[in-house]
Amino acid sequence: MNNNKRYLPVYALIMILGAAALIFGLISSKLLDNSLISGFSTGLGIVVLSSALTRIATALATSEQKQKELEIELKDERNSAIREKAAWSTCKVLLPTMGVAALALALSNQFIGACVIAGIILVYSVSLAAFSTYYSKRL
Amino acid sequence: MNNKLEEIRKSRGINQEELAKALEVSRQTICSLETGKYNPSITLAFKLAKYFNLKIEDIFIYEEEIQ
Repeated sequence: MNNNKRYLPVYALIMILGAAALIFGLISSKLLDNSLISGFSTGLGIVVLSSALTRIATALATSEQKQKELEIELKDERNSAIREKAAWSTCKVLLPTMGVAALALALSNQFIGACVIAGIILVYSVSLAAFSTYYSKRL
Repeated sequence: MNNKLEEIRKSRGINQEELAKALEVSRQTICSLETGKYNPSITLAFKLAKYFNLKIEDIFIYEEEIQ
């Protein structure tokens, strides 16, 4: 049994939970006045249900041979190096872009938007520093 | 880093696909190794050496040695 098929019961459980959240959301939208709860529940249900269904379909449709090939592609050291370089390049592009966006929003008096982007930049920078320190100690 | 991987592989009559499968890496990795675009990790270098029953330095040539 390949790795994906081994997790089929877990995916089925997640699918049931997603379906339950979706049904709860749909029913509560009719019965409750609180649209926030029903909207959140419906949205979460759709995301969880579709994700679980995708995984189940992939697990059932993928042959053991194909699954092994996919695993090799994922674990391949050159592909890992490519992903690391791509992530680092994206980080270098994204940080100044977000900074410019925050500045543009602040200059156009949209302070909430500017603060949200500034917050994202802060989280991004702090996590970058934290992960760098973590991996610096581990490797 | 230069290497004799392509030469060794061809002399043993193995294609890139077979080598990639044996080492559990992608065919593109073998291709990049042979063209010298990618330098392998020490683990992969050892795997290659073990596969061909050679020493790492029989396959890979450190640049300083060439100069």
